[in-house]
Amino acid sequence: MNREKQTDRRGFLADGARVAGVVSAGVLGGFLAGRRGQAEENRWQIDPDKCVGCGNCATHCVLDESAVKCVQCFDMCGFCNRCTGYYTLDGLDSRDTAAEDLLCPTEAIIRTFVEGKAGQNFYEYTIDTDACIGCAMCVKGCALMNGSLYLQVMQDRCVNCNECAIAVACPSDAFVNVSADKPYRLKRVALGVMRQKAGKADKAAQRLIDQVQADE
Amino acid sequence: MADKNTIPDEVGVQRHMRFLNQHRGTLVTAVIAVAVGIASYAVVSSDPLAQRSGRSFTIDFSSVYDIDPGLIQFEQTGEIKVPLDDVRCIDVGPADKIYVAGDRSVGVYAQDGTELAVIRTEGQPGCVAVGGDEHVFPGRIYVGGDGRIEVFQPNGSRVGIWDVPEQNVILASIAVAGNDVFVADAGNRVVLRYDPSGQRVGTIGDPDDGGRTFNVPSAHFDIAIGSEGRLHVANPGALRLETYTFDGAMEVRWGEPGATIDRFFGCCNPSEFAVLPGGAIVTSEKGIPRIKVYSEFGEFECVVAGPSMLGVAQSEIGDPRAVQAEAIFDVATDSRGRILVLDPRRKSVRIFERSIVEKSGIGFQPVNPEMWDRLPACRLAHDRLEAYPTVWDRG
Repeated sequence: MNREKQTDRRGFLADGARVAGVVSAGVLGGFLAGRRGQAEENRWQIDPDKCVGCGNCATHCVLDESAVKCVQCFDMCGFCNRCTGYYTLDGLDSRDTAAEDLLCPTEAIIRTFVEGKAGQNFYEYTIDTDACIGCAMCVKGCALMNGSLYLQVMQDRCVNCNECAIAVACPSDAFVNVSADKPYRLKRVALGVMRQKAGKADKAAQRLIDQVQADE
Repeated sequence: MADKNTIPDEVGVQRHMRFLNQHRGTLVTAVIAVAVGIASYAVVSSDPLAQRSGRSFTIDFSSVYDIDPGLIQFEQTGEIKVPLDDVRCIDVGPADKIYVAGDRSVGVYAQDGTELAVIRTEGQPGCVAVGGDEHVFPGRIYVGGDGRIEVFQPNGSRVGIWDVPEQNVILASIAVAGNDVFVADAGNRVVLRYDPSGQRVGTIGDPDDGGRTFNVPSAHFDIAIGSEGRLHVANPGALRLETYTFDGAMEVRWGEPGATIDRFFGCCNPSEFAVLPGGAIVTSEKGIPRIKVYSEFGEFECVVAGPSMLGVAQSEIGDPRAVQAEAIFDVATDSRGRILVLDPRRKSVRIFERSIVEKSGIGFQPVNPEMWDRLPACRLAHDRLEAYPTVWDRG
C-alpha cells in the first residue's frame, strides 16, 4: 500500500515535469515565433529629394501644429546676406526685416550676424521649431540657390498615425516609412557633402551619417 | 360694438410701448445676438484664414519669370545632342570646336554636331577650358576636377596632371590666356595662376595676402579672359563681376543685386559667364535661369534667353527637388558671336544667335580702347576696396 503511494507520487511528479516541459517549450516557441513575426517599428518621414514644398504639411497634419518642421543643413548653406529662403522677392532688394518682406509667415527663421569678410556680411539662419508650421515657403525660396533648408517630420511631435494624413495629401509621394532607429533623412547632396567630410576624418560628419537614414 | 371695433390708436400704442418697456433688456440682447450672429457668419463664410494660408504658402515668381519680349535679342538656331549622362561644362576652342565635359570624359564636337573625339579623364570634370590661338599651346585642353587639373594635347594625348594640394579644393572654372592658366577654386575662394608648365605663379584673393576677396556661397565661381589681357572673375556672393590684371589688381567691378532683369538675382550670381568677341559679357544666372548680355563695363544690353526659352516652367521655379538644382546653364561663345548654352537637362548644346542685328544695327563692336585709358582714374586699390561705390562710375 505504502509502496503503491510512493509510485503514484513519483508518477505524479514525472507527469508534472513532462507537462511543465511541454508548456515551457510551447511558450518559448510561441515567443520566438512571435518575435520573428513582429514587424520592425517604422516612422513616417519626408524624403527631402522628393518634396516639392507644396505646403500640405502645414495644413493636413492631424495635429493642431504640424509635426513637420523645417531643418537647416548648415554645410550646404551659404550664410548669405541676401537669403532667398528668408526674404521675399521684394525683401531681397530692400533687405528690410519687416514681416511683409519675410517669406516665413510665422517668422520662424532666426537670422544672426556671424561675421564680415571681403566687404560682405554673413548670417546664420536657424529655425525656431516652435514657431515653424512646416509650410515650406523657406524651402522653396532656398531651393532657388543652395537648397539647404528642407522639411522633416519631427519624431518627438509626430503621433505616427497608421495612415498619415499628410502622406495621403502629398502630391509627390515624398512621405516614406523609415526605421524608427534612424528616422531622419539628409538631402542627397548633403549626404554627399557629409561623406566627403567624413572621408577627411570629420567625426561630427560621420556621427551625423550614422544617425540618419543613409540609403541612396 | 362700434366702440369695441374702434379702439383708439393711442391705446394700442400705449400697449406696445408698455410691452417694449417691460421687455427692453430682452429685446436689446436679442438684437445684439442677431448682429453678432450675422457678423460671425460673414467672417466664417469669407474664411480669411484660408485666404491667408493660400496666399502665404505660395511664392509668385511671375514677376521674374516673364521677360519683356522686346529685351530678347537672340533666338535659338541649333542644338547639338551630347551623348553624356552628366554634362557639366562647356568651352569653345580653336576652329570653333565645341568641348563638353562630363562622365569622366571630354567630348569634342564640330559646329555641325559631329563628334570628333572623346577624351577620357581620370577625375569627374567640374570645368574645362581650351587654349585659343593666342595661347602658347593652341588647342591644349585643361580639365579641372577632383582637386587637380588634367592637361591634354589637342589630339587627346595626356600632357600631365597638376595637383592642387590645398584642402577643400573645388575647381569651378579655368581660363586660358597667352602664357597663363587661371583656375578658380570655389572651395577656398581664390583664383590660382599657373604658367603653361603647371607651376603656380600667383593667387588672387589669397586671405593671407590682404584679406579675402571673393564671396563664393556655392560651387559656382566662374572666370574668363577678357579683352586687353584682363581677367574677369564672378564674385557671386557680392552679385557682381570684377576685372583684374593678371597680377591680381582689381580694375573694374560692376553688378547690382536685384530681381529686375538688368540685375543679378538671389544670393549668388552670376553662376556662369563667357566673353563675346569684342568684349561683351554673357552671364548665366541660377535660381531664375536667365542668360543676358552686358557690355564689358556692366551696361545691360539684352536678354539671350529667359526661363521659358530654357525649358524651365514657372512651376519649376523654387521646386526643391534635384531636377531644379540641375537647371544651371554653362555658357560659351564662339568666334562668330554665337552663344552656346549647355543644357544639363536636355543633355545638349543649344546655339543662340542674334535675331535682330540688321533691324537694330546692334552688332559686336570692339571696346573703345579709350575706355581702358580712362580706367586709372577709377582704378580701385585693393586695400581701399570698400571706400569706392559698388558700381564703377562711368562718368
